[in-house]
Amino acid sequence: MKAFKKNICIEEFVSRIPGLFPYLEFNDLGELVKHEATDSVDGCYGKMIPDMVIGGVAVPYRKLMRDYYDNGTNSDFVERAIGKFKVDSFSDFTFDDKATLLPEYIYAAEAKSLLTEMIRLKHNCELYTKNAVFKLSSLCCDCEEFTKRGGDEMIRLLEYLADYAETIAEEMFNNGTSDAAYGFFMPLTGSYEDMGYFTPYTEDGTFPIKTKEESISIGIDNVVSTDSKLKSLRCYSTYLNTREQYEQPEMGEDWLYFYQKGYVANYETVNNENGNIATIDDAEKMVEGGYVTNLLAYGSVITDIEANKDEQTITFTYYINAHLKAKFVSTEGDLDMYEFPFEYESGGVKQTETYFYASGGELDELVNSGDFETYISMENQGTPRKFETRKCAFSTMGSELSNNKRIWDKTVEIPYQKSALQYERSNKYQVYDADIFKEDYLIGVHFQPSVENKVNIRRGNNAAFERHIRLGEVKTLEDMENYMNGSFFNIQQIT
Amino acid sequence: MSLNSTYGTVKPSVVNIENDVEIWYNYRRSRSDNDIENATFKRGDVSVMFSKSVVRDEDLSEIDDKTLIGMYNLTLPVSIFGNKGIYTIYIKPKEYFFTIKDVGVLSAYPDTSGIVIDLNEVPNQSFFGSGNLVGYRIEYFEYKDNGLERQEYYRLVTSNNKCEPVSQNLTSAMSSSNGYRFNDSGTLCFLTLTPSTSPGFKANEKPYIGAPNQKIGITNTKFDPVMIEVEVVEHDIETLSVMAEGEMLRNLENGRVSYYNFDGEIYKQFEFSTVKDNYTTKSVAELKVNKDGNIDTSLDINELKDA
Repeated sequence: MKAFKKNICIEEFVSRIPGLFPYLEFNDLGELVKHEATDSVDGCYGKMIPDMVIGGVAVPYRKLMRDYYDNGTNSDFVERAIGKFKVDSFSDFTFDDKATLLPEYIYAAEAKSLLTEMIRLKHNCELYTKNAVFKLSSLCCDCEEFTKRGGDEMIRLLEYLADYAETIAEEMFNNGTSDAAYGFFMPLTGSYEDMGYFTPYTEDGTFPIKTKEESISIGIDNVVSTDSKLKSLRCYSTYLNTREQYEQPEMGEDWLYFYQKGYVANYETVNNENGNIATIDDAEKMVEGGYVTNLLAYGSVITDIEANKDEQTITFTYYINAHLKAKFVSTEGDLDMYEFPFEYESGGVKQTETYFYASGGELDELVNSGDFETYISMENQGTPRKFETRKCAFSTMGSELSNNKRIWDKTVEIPYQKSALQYERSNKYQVYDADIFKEDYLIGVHFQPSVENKVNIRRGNNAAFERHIRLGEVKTLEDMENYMNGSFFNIQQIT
Repeated sequence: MSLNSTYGTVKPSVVNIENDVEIWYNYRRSRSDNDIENATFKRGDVSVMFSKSVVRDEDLSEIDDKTLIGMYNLTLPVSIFGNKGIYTIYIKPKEYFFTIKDVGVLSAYPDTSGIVIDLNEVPNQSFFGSGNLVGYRIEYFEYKDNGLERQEYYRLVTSNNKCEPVSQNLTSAMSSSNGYRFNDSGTLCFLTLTPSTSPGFKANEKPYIGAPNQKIGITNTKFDPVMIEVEVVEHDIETLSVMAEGEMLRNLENGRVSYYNFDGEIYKQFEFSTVKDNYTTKSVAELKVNKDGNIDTSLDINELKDA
């Protein structure tokens, strides 16, 4: 890690002019607060000045002043903010010869405090002249000072400047930002070395082993979603209308006609040597009419179809790759007979989807007629529904989303139906707290670990049958990629 | 033997400031303020304090991007850094915190294990766009006596893809396991990490990459952390030289002495006076008093110089 040390001086932001710039000061809570210059006796002298906005641009105070001193930049603005006046430049205020202690200049920001002092002198002077009691006191000096510093005319001038200072200070306050800042440049670099390697062996030189027994639920508390698999659970692939013509759903709709409650699609079973479905163990004794739950039989099954009359929605619940159970019928010879179809037992990825249907449509009428349960039941499982012409369309538009997929160099939008899912699983495996770093050239590449147990032995360049022997060693495309890529075979992309 | 270049990967970093950088700072008035309260770091506003450096158009006309690679502006606002004292600033890659939803394998490649993040629990889902997190570092937290504690080990992300759970039970008896497959429509994300293969000869041994419900922090590795110690002082060499060799004005009427900085402004003003005994009028002491807060500007040094 890099470390830098800097010393910076607060003087950068401090004004050394008793001017009318707004100033910043920390309050008791440690917050930086902006003040008008007239809040302080000496204006902004000795205070931190915020960046000033001139022509819409925030200019740091020290830059503003240096530019002004060097080139006279923004002189109107800066001189108004400095507020420094030569006393004899005012034609409205004239001073007599007695005023020998007149200052050359007055800063408007200081006018208020000077005014207070002059009023005090005037007050003392009045006491001295009007009351005999004070005749002998030292107040005579105040009276003389009051006269020499300009007397009532100076009070008038200071009142004028104090008002002016208030106006300009407010204007400058509005032109000031609320902050200022030190600026640095900071290099950022990344290096392989700084990341470092580490190998956490335990003291006895073995890897620490952790055994994990997990039971995971995903999507129970919050909705996890993926694309819909509902269409893979259709009982029928086609629909024939009354005129024996094929019809299919239009874009953005699907038909309840294709789906039945309890329908199992994509059967997968493990069979033994007799052709019977194998069981996980033999412990379970099969009873006629009873369920067999330890069959190695799996599939996707629609477990529920529900219609909500009020909201006009239809909800499908189905499991993908669930473990199935079956009713045992009897054994004939070596063959075990089960009742068809199988039913949902456990596991699988549970998916639920809700779709809307139109009021007044076939599905709406079906739901209202009370015939819904019959329609979705498994009576005609396996064969096309006889004498059934109602399609019962529902809309899939509402839940349609799209994915951006990169196919070659083009981005293709692929629409999909959104489906909520729930998933539970348990697993047990051992883990080693060890580190194996992936090779750099494989970072970003997702791969299946493979064991390189085939060794190509180079037998010298002059072997007559070298090429033929090598060719004989290559049996798959993977072999070509692994052992020969570039040296023997040139795999070219055909575009 | 001579080396013309160093073999390595040190490079100027290109970062997305809002997403990749976080800044922490600490303030203490002096080195001795080292109690717990003063040693606590606060988070700084990156959008205010950090920005990219740019070059002039004419110096780099070939490309539109005028940022100077690896160079950034660090801005320290006086609202935070306006006090005298020592500020420690720590710039590090931004860390995001998540909870591992599951540790599973790809159904098609049972040897490839990874951690699964539920994107519903993530505020910024685009952060987990496929491949976005390659090279990021993952650090782990575990519950110890004092609550969640960061662990000493880390892993690197080698790939991340959106996924969905898959249940394939044909060989795994009743335990419904078998993991995940990639699917861009999914709202789960599968991250493979550096040690994803078995370190031993047993097939089911895996390096530790996390546990379900474990808290993790994901950090980019785009740059090395940087520490800057900034000492804010009242005097630097320039202010001291102002006092030593700056112009000076002594007002003989009121005993004020003004020192001027190099811009011609009154840097300091002192009042020199002599204290005398009331009865003997003998001088007792000489005073030099700083008049900050009540300076006298009645004489102007430039006017006097011209006179």
